[in-house]
Amino acid sequence: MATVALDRKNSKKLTAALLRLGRVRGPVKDETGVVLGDLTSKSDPVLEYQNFTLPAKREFFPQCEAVAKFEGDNVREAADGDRAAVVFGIRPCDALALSHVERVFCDEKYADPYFRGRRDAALVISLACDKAGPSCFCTSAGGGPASAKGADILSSNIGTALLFDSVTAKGESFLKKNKGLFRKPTAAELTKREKQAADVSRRMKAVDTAAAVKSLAAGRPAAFWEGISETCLSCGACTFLCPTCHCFDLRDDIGTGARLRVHDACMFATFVTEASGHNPRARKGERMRQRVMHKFSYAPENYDTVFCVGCGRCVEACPSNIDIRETLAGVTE
Amino acid sequence: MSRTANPYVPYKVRIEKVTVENDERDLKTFRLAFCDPSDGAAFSHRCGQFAMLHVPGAGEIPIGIASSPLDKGYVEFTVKRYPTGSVTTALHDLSDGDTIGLRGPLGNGFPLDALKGKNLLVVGGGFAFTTLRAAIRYLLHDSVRKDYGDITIIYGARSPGELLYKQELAEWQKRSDVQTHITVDKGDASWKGREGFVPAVVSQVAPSPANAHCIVCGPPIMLKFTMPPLLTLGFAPEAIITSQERRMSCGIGKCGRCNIGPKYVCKDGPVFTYAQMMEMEKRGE
Repeated sequence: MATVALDRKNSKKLTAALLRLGRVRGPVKDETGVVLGDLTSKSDPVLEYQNFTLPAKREFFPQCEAVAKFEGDNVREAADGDRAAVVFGIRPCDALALSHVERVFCDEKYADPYFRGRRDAALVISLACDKAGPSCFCTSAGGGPASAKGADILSSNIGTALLFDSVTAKGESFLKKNKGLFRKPTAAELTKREKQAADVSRRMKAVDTAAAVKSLAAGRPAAFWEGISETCLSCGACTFLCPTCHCFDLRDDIGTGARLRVHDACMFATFVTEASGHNPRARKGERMRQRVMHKFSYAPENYDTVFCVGCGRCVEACPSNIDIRETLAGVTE
Repeated sequence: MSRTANPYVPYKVRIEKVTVENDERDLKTFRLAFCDPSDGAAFSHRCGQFAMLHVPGAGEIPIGIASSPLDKGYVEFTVKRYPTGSVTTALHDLSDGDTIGLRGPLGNGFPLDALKGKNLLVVGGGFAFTTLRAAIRYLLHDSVRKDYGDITIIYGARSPGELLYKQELAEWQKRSDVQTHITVDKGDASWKGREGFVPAVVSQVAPSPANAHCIVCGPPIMLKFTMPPLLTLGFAPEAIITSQERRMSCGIGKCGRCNIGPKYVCKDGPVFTYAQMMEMEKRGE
């Protein structure tokens, strides 16, 4: 299906069409900046922002959710949480990350019913980037400012208008059903979109991810990992903000009788500590190795792609200024 | 959505019998029966697989299945209680008639079907012997024994009182169709059997590697020192089968906790050949 356009002045009509599908998550302003929140009929979606501080995975894999309930000695599955019908405005890096997490959560043997349910319920409309942040490197991590993978529809903000391309059948169906909203884009608008994406790509510093993946396949000595993790505080900020990190713990909440799934992090000291007290990754260097190897060696081996989308959140959030781009450059030295 | 479609919801099982296995009283075997018989019919495991045991309110733990698939009507697990382990402690506090949750069977299991016609050396140490006991019970079953060649068992524990499944060990020692070598690190006044560490006993017994595979489970230190004598005897790394343990949350390859290199112990394992282990560990694990 060809690209369609919507004048910015009509963006509230788009919101209305989306709201007819159900609950809409989209870019809204709060006291912290632009965040992914509930869009209402009154909201005119904010379209000027670099990226959300929190990754979009949280819409599909919440930080805490019940996967089972127990009453006395009976256990049953938990009711489905509040599902979004639309997730609009996530950046292409977060959409790509969503496709990575989906491959883990919904493999050939076990489909995670909670992730599957939320992803199937939602129409994901990503928004191409019109500028590059100082830590962005998506073009070196399998994506790009206008990468469509993981979304149902890719939208682009070219100032006076929004352009839309369907990526999946679900996306195409929405655009077709609402064709009255859209018009044909002009040749100038399409050119502007191309130029915008090319400009953003150009402003990003390239990282030689392929060389790093190749080098890591042979492993790196313990001293290397000890070195790069020396200043690490084991705070886990990098993992909680990472759109592809999907580690979790399951624990019983006695108060509510729920078996909860909560985000967890391989950077925490006791992440793999066993009941006996044995900790296979007792050293910070071993935990750093796990994080870097998982993303840039094990994922390429198991999924044929790095589990990093170059969003740069870990770079910006690290209190010790550990920069994954420098780590990747370091492994090939 | 049916329960089988939701991999996080356990089967409800009832504790039928609790057996204290050792003098320290920190190893107990729990015999579990499915509260809903149709769950029991659906639960079909292979030797070497594990399951998650859920003590409501305390949490879940991955434990190897200690009973044979041919033991019908129940499933057994031998669990060590750790003072620092909240779930193992909660489980040890339960008794006959209590109900818990069970998810599984999980993991790959020993490739016993592929080993038909082979001679088998089964080497175990400490309480890692549980899944080996499942395999031995299966292999020695009347309907199965004829499918395999010579079977040799080497099993060691710290002291006579720490040996698991004492009655079964005595029965196996009486059989002529299996060579059973039991050893303890240090015997006591009543111990008339072998003394010595498992690796040394492997060298002394020296089973032939011809047409043979070895299944070896034990604490990391035992595994480390048992591999060299096995290799010296002529067992190829591909013919040495071992089982790994790691902390787990989901047991189905999603929670990101139990990997050794690129492999998840829960879904790619827990059973790996020694050749696979060396490959998995080469990047640093």
